[in-house]
Amino acid sequence: MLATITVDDEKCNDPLSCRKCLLICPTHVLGLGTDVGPQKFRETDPSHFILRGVRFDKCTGCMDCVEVCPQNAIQVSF
Amino acid sequence: MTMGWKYAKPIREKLMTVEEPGKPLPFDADRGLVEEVTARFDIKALVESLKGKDKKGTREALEGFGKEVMKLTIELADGKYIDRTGEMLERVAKQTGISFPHRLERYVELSILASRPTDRWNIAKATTKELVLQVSSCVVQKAMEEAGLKDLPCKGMCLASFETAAGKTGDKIKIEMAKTMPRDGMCEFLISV
Amino acid sequence: MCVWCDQFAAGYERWYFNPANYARRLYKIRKEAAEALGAEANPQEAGGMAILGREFLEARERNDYEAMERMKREAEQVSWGTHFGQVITLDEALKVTDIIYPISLMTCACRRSMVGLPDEENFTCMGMGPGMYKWERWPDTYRGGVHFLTPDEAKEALTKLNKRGLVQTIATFGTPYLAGLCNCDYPDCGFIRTVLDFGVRVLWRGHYVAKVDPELCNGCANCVARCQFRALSFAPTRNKAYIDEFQCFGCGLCATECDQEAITLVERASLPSLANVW
Repeated sequence: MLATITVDDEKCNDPLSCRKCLLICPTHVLGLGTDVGPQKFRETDPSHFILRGVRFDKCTGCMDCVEVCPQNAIQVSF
Repeated sequence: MTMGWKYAKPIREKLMTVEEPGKPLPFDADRGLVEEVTARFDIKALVESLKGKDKKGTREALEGFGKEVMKLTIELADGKYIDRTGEMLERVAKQTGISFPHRLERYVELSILASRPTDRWNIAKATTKELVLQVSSCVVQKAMEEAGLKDLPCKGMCLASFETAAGKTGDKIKIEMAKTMPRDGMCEFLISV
Repeated sequence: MCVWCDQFAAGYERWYFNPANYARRLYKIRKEAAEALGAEANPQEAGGMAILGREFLEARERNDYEAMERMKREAEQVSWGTHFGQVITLDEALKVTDIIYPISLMTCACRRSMVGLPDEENFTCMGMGPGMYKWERWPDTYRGGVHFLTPDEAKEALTKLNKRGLVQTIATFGTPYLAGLCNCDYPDCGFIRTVLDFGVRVLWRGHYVAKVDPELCNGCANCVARCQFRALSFAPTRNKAYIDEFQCFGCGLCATECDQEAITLVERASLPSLANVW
């Protein structure tokens, strides 16, 4: 079964510096991207970084990411 | 000598970061450079002026032309039409202590773009020891053909130009030509230090 | 035969020893007075989320091999034309530093995406060649900044990265232009992850295959943790390292760690059954 992972971007506002879920996930299912695409002549502001489920095939359903998130921003369902 | 690099750490005093976020930087060659150089140096007129000249006079005219084109290119490329590629390239050379090939390559490329913007050419090799430039369509060759002039020592123009650039960068270069037009269909310059 | 050598080696022993694959013009004539913001595609966009999306995983769930094959093929075609890698040994990487200039140390985009690794712990990647003079055009690719290395300094850094346990890979940015010298590991390298988890060849095996000499192997198992490709294990009954040569990517990390010199690298092309396994 493939997990469905949803992230509330309003709650998860600075995943690049928080990264608690990224570090706790035993199989590195989650990933960071940006909601603006690459910017010319500037680094993308951290506020534009977003967290997503990526490698769903590796999600065991342990819920560690859900529990570790200080903002309750992550939901995992099967 | 080692640089004492620690795994995964940047070397702080060497680190370059974005200086003015969002400010557009000009990396390509400025069109103004091309316009000014082309206006001052007319290759067709040069070739016309070679008609009736003796061997020595021809050689001197070609070499002089090459030298002067490079002089103006350098002046404009480092002054009025400075570009960010050039600025960064100088910084990198300072950081590594390595001048060749790109400081020279910059002037060579800009002089070709500026004086002969329709030429077709390619950089086939660029190591810290060797630079290989291939020119496969050349406006000088074309002008000579049109003027009915053959076997002119036109390579003197390129060689004098590249030597002038090397004089500016301080690279002690040696230039060999593995291929020449029209025989080989291209001129290939092997510039080594 | 390595198809990349076949097409791009031009008489050199390997395609990544051919200096033409690293050389490019520095200049073209500017189109407008000022460079437009965001007008052209970023040629060096790397890392990111994933090469294959959820639709591939769903096809795999329902055993739709046809759809999987199609998506794999499409991903490979795009990757091979624009951005793919090949494993090289440390010795080969050291040799490359002498035919490419400049070389910069930069942060790894994959590890930023996969674990949000902070910039100051993430300088493990190398950008190479004339394109590096224009790094400020796309600062996100070089997030955290860059600094430049002499060939000797690059050798020192590569040796240290190898010692640490990272695989050297060389990467194209618009094939065959080579501009990335990455230092990779599973699961945080997008290339290794994609090729191992999905069998999509965005990363090609190297020109060697590692082989254990059972006479010389003393069973210390120091090599076992070094393999990023699931090719190396430990055979307790024999007290020897075991290498699955069909799974081996030829990076040589096991060999550089073995102080008994019990692991050697054999030319892939010399082994009939492996000569075409890339």
